Amino acid sequence: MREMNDVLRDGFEAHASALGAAGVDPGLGSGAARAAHRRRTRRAIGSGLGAAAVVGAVGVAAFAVGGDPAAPPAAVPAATSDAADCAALPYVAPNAAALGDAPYAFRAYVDLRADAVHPGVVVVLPDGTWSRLEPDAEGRYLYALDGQVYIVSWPREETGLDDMAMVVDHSTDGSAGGGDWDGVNPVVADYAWTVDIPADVPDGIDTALLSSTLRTGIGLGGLGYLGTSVPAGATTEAVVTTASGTTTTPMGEGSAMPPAADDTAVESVALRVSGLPGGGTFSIVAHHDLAGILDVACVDPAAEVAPDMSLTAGWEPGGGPAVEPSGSSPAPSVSLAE
Amino acid sequence: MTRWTGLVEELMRERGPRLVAYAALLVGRDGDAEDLVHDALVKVFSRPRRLSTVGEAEAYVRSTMPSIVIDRARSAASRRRARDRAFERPREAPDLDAGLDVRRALRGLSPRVQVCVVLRFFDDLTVPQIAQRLGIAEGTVKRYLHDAVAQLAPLLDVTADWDEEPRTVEVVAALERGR
Repeated sequence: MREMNDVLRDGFEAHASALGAAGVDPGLGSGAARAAHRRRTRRAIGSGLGAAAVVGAVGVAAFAVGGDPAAPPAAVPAATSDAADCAALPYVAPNAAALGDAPYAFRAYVDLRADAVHPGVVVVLPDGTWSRLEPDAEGRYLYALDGQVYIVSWPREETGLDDMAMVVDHSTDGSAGGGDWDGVNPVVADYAWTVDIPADVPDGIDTALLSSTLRTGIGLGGLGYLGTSVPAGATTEAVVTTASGTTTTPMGEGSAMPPAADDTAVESVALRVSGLPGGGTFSIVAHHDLAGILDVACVDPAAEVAPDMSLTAGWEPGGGPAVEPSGSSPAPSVSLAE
Repeated sequence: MTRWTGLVEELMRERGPRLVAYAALLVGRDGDAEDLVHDALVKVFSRPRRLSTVGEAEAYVRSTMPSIVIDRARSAASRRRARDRAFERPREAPDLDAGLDVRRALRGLSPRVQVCVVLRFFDDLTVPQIAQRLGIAEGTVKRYLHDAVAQLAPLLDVTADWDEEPRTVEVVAALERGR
């Protein structure tokens, strides 16, 4: 009588040989590569994250708009000469006006290439506070903020980070999204957007979750739609407004915002909740204005704050030393350079 | 063509049959196995990773498959996506005969149990390693394996006796210690 191990392995080898002779679906790999490419694109924080070229006096920069990689680049106004000067220190803070109530933590610039112009790992808070991180004994770049420890770069798992530059937005819910970066030019695409949250929020509406979902519609990354973000019985639609009209799309559980056919023509993107108890609707809206890109402020090179490494020393996932919430974030009084 | 897409192409060209065969052990049917390979490829290559050789890529893709199967079992939405893709296939190709008795026997198990059996008896993981990998208790893994072996033994004509640990010997650098 045979052993289970031998039977499984014999069955595997016979099957693999037969598959090799019959041939595996040639579209399997290419289809997966296309899907992976779409995910990488969606993970990009800004529409032009990877190639947001700042050309200053020329006045126009071309950047990829995400989605179909074969689509031609769109032309948008470039950042001002002030933003072009950020190339001296390219760590532009995330646009706080585009966050809404999203559970946002910080933006991380990771460029571990040996020949990088600005090598290292830098985190920037929405208020412009920024810190340069050093690796711990295990080569990890950890950052503590408001009592949470974030893995900004962990070479053992994100091993690709030492041969490419990336920008990653981290959220307080533990999620993160990012994309390629050229390591030199400031990331400014999110300055084209402003998110408005009404002051009066009906009971049962979670504006943090809705804001996170809304950001998926403006290329900034976020969580898929969760039905628990609205009261029971309510329904939510994505509303995309362009100069030529408005389209509405029902939001299903887990879905991201629908992509706009032409990003540059979008005037606003909204999530509209209907069927609220007592009637009425509630909307959060992201307004699009490419002129906003012209108003980007650089971080102040002199305003660097040293992170408290003692909060992350010896930290391990699911354990490690307790991090006290107070005093864990860098001082928020740093100003942005004009 | 980017470096990673070239690696995907090379991986499928050189190791595609082995990846599908491994996936078939986990899910039981050839068509479902191709879906699993697709999902594993997407999961692995959606993020930048240092995978420089086909061998490294094959190992990484294979290592992601068990958790995908478990996630599918947990997630109705994920199951729906897999089912939708199954419907998208123009015609269900019949499973290849080679090794079919093994796959037929395995697919009589629940997804979690099937994954445990493959990790233990094909990948030679220990019970604690399986428990850690799948995020379930060691006792649960042992129970799954005992029940599975009892079910599979008469179908595959294998012994119902098995060790909780693989029959491997850890090689210790005795000379180094003796210095």
